[in-house]
Amino acid sequence: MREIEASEITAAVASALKQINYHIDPEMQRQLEAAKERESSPLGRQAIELLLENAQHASAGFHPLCQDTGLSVVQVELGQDVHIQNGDVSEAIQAGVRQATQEARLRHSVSVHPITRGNTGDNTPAIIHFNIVPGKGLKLIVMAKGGGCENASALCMLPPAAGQAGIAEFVVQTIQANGASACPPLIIGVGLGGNFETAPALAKRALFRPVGTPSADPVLAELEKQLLERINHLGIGPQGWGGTVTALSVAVEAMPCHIASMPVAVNLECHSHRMLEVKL
Amino acid sequence: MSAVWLSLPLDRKALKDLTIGQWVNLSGPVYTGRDMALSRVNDLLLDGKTPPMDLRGQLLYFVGPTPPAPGEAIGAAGPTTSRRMERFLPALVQAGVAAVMGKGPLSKGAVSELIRHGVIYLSAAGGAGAYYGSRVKGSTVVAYEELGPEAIYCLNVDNFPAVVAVDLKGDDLFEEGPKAYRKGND
Repeated sequence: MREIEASEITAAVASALKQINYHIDPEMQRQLEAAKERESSPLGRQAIELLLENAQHASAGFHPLCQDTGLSVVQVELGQDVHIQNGDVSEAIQAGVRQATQEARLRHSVSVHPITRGNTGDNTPAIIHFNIVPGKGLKLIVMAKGGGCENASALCMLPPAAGQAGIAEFVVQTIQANGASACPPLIIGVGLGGNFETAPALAKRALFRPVGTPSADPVLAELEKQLLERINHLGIGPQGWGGTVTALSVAVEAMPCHIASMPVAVNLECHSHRMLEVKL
Repeated sequence: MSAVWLSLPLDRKALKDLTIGQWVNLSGPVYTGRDMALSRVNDLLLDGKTPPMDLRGQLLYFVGPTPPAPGEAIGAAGPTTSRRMERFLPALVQAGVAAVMGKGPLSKGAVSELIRHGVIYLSAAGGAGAYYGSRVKGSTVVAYEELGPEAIYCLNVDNFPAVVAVDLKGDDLFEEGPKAYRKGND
């Protein structure tokens, strides 16, 4: 049995949120630099250039990368031989969000109630996904997820006979309809299978995969490649101003499903892609 | 990138020569607004009441900024999705707004509403909040302070770049831009 203090979790979440809101992920920086080289549209290249300049400004620590500092999404992989002491693990995560909001001057982006609105004033509650895994590790994936790209996301319960073509059509149509509002160049997460509640969670988990890493499943890796090509043929381009780089990567995750179902969820992610993995 | 310099509030005569895809550099005061505040302004306008700011000739910017660091006018201040504000556009253009600025496309209906009233749409670069925030030199809350980031601010911007997305000829960059790069039957 390994013991981890709840306060360590709070500190890790706060530190991750501060980091990702001001400092572009080095891989995203490389992805944007490469995208600028291959983008055919002059306006598209100028848009990417502005985003790279933006990252430089943000790193000075006065202005976050984006005013939408996001809804915090935390994926927890908790080893079953770990004991969290002196605190509640969920509350420890929320405390980290609260701390980062204050110390890093994050925008208050969480409404108390979907209908009556209001503002929680500290960006809690974060969305937390727990996975219990073997071992003594504790891994946190902390993401600051923007509202604009989340709004552009979609779920469809397709019939199994729709097949891979049906899946691809739904994904491409979702990008065609909403992609330009989601801050392209996009990262696209697709969740296949499971059921009505797991497909979107899988799509979100697909976004956690390092950008540009193909699926280990050859069927999914091929689908990812085809989807990326079709999406970039839409011509939406950086910012939706027209161009050849609409998406930087597509990641597909899949799991078994009911014989009657083929759930497909598409989770769109903006070019900021603020995410950090922390191991405690 | 060569850009057209535009002083704010806007001189409507300066708008007629703008073309989609062209960069503009904005300097002067802009009013901000997004979901909650614009909903209130919309209700006031529909009730025939006076909104908290005179919108005539103004640029309305769809943004909810982050709090300022000490010594700064504002935090990050990039655009939010314009499509969510479409429902408020008929009242806003009636009230005399000369231009709106945000990110992403507007529906065909919203675009025709703008053109009918001689209003242009500027697209700022989504996700460039730090860059834009650094080009805000002053900020005051005009109304609805209790809404926090959703309050209406007057931001004094300087050398603030955006792209003309809907011009007065009726062209829409979000339609025309992608057409040139689209491949196949997608």
